[in-house]
Amino acid sequence: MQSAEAKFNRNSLLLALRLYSSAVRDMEQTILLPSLLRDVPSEEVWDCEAAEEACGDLYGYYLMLKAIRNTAESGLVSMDDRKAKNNAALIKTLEPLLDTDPEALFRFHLKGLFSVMSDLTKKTQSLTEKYMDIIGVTN
Amino acid sequence: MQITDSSNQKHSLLTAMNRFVGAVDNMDRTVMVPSLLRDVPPDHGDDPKAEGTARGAADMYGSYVLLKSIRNDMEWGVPQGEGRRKVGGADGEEADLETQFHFHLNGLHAVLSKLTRKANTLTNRYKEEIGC
Repeated sequence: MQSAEAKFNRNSLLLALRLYSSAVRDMEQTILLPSLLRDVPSEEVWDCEAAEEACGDLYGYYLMLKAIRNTAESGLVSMDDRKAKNNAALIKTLEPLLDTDPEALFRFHLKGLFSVMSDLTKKTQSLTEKYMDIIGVTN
Repeated sequence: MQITDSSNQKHSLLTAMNRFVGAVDNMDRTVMVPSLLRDVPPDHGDDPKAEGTARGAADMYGSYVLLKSIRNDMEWGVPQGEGRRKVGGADGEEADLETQFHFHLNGLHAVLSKLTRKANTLTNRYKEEIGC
């Protein structure tokens, strides 16, 4: 079967995922000493408050962004228990739509994923820039 | 990004996307006279509770148009103009990005799997209609 990749254009989800991967690769190639990010407070504290594990510093954030990239690339959809618990109530609410209005559910998740990938890409780029500030590299 | 379809990626979103697009393409190539699907009742074999309530799927022709529209959304994207609906956490505050990512990834995977089955069912039903 011909790869569907050839058909995805610049607005496609595939491209959004690719842009994110690219931003994370850039981050990995720039951040040669990730330990320098330890204890540097994350400005986006709210992102971490909703998560139970400690990611209050940029190092935790760095690891999270890489983990998300790995999931996006492998695409394996199993979630750990914590995340499943957080989403359980909402998943239950949306379940009936799978049968009655799959189109609406599809558009909801597609838009959501686009939005999340866009936010994650920007945050990845911010983190890379912050690291460059830390090591004193000026553009 | 590696695009492979090895067996240990059969649960991947990319595989689900490719399968769906493939199923709709196959449907598109098979259904040469879409109007033959008009007034053919939709097949609710796997979800009886959807009968009579599925929006825009009063007949198989409706399903056909819907599936093509969703395939186009995947290829061309959807307008991001209106504000993103926030995914709330247990106590109402916005869930962190990681949780949202997993929520939408899983959700999209589930919808695409279901729609892929629908597209395949429609293709087979059409073939029955034309006596293949």
